[in-house]
Amino acid sequence: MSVAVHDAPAAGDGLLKIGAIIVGLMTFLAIFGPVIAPYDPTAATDTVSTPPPPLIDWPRLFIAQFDPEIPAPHWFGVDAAGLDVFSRTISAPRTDLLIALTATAFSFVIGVTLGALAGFFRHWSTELLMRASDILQSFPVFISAMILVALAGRSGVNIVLAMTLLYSPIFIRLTRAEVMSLRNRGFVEAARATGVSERNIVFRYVLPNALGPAAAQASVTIGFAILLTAGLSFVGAGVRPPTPEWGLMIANGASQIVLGDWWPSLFPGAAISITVFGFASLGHALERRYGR
Amino acid sequence: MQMQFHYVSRLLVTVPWIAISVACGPIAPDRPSEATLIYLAEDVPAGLDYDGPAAALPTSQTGMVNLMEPLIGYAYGDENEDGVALPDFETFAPRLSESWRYNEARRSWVFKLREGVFSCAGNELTADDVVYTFARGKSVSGAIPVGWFLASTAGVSGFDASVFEDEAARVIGDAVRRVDRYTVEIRVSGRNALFLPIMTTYGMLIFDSKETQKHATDDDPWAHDYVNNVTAPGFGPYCLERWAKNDMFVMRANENYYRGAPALKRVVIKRIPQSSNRFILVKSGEADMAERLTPREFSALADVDGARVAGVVGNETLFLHMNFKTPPFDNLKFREAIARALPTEKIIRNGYFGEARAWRGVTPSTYPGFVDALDEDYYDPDAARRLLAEAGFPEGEGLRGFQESLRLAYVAEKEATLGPIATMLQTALREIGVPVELDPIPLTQYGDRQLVKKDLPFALNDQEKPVVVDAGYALSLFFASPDAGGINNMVNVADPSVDAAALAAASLPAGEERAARIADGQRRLAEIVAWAPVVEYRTQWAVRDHVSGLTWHPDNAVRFADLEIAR
Repeated sequence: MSVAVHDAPAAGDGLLKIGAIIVGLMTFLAIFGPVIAPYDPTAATDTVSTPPPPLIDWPRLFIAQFDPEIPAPHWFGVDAAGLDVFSRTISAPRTDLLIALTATAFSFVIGVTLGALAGFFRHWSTELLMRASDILQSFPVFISAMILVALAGRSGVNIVLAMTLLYSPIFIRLTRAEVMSLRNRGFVEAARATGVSERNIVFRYVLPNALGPAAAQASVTIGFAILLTAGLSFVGAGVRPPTPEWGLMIANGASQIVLGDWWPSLFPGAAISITVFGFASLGHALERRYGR
Repeated sequence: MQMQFHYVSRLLVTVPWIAISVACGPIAPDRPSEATLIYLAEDVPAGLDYDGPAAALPTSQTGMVNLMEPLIGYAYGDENEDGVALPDFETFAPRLSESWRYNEARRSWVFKLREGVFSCAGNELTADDVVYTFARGKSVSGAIPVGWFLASTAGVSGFDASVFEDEAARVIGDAVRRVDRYTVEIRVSGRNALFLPIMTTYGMLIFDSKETQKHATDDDPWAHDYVNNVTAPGFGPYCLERWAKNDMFVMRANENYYRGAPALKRVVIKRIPQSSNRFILVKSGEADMAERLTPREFSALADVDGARVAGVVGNETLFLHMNFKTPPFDNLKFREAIARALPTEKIIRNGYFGEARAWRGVTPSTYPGFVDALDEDYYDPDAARRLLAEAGFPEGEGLRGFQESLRLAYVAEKEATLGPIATMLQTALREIGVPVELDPIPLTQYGDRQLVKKDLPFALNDQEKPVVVDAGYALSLFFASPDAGGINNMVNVADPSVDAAALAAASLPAGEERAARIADGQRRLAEIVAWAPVVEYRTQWAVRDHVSGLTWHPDNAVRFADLEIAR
């Protein structure tokens, strides 16, 4: 997805605030979503395919919630399996964000480390690493992820591993380029002259100065990782049903749209859009503020 | 909120509709004439040889039964409330043969064939065609020996396991012989009650031997490749006009058909894999009929002007499969705990929208010999909890160690129908303490594990139908141990009394003793919870109002020659 970035600092601040709010909210839901959900997000209720209550009734229904005798309304309706869409939508960040954050963190650590080494040392093994990265990046990420998950088996761990493999080259390339531009700078020469070992030069002097672009990229990668997680579930290669996961919810709801059931897929679809927008905004704002 | 989402809702319906229209293109190559019917299915026939690799696929069977014809069929009685004519399983009707009788002295069935029956190739039906059909089955030269298996189950002489060991045993000999041009004799081991029901099935359709033999080669003397991939030469009501695999299957009426040329001159079977797309196309009138919609889509179609749903409680069932060889399902009390926790009424209401009924046996309740083996109040979560404790898993304690076994598999391609039901079952089982996970797997993988490896621990199955209308046949097919001839014993049940019942079903003539033995077998299967039955659901079709004359057959394939269309 692309986000328009304007030059005015105020626009950048606005993006930062919006991104931070969305990321904060999703992080909160990832931690507390299943706890505050009115229904078990994986348990079928007694009704199926029920639309959300009319918007005009929401204030009354909300106030009624203070009476413990009254059952919680299905704010976002109920899907074809009898699952409460609201509870699932707010519980899904735990799955989506956890997978996306973990995969991005692994990719970041592996990519930055290897990228720093590849940028600083000229060796056949670093060339081999770059060619391997080229090969990995030459395949469409989604197709590659689908194949890897199909081969390894359908589980959250395997999705994380597949994403780590596919996203690491991004960080390798970014960090390598940055390190290559830094390795002949004066402060590196100075460190070398004072007898600092090459390894310490890389990790104590060069790498901290080369992290900016990779850090900004991380936020954008999280957004893409959320999309990829959802996409894999949408095509049946992601987490198992009925795990609350936005892509899976959209896939299950998609076949109901022709019957007029818009709610099972609309709300998770909106949640994905907002979340990816949030991470992308944050990434762009950070890039503008602390970027190259 | 509903008002505000009105436009969103319309948009969400319109966009896929446009996408489908673009993706599908024109459904038929040209617009249907008065006598053309457009039928939408998950797939078109993948093969037309009933001894071929695609024999078990319902879509393939639809092709076979409309191009070929059996010796006999069932007589048809009254229509049900949906206007579907139902077979009378007690009465057989002439088809290619006009009469038949059992010769006690010679232990044989003698069929007198109709005269003047012509195939699409213009060849007349003779006794040679029947002999050729049985000889082809006994050759066991196809990918799957369906013809041999059914003839063997019917007790036809010489159709035994020796054909797999000894090439000489594959010759038909005098087991099936021509008496004269229109008379054929089939020798049997005895007066087997399954013989006539088996003769009605798709695995006993008669070939046009002259046309088939034209396409035999040295490598393929029984023309399996031709039959499977080009056409099945037979004496049926339709001739194949065009067949684009994975796309379209077009048949034109056989004007020589012995029961009179079909009213529908052309039938176009179009592959539309997504049920929601089939729903839209029937709803909009772009197609005349569709099969295999989801229960919710069938339910929604009831409110559509110009379309209706026609159905029958036939032989389609939903049950839980628990593998006797896989712990903890090797524990009878555990299996019974699971079976008693299944919320049948909720599944009928929320999974099938009322178009199903509780199933309390192991064979379809519409079949002769069915025994209602379970109590009315079998669903009992408290009893299920008690049984779970007696099985050694109080409140589910200790079951975390069986995570792999407790994955409830089902066919991923049926997600729209089975996914919601699987979720309801998972919820019910978790309530008694059984930590079930759902595991949708591709159809090919499911079939391999069920039929070949027989290692699926736990599965939700809605696709087993005994094609021979007999409770005893169902026992033999699904529950006899391999030593007793069971070929689709997917849960690996091995019980001597069930094997004895299956043997009795296959060897005794129809009568009280056979019925009693089959009933005992069914009660025993219920006692040991061989399957956990859930519901019998209606076999349904989405039909435009101008289509009438639907008949139901135990293979669930539409006979297009029975239909009429009045646009």
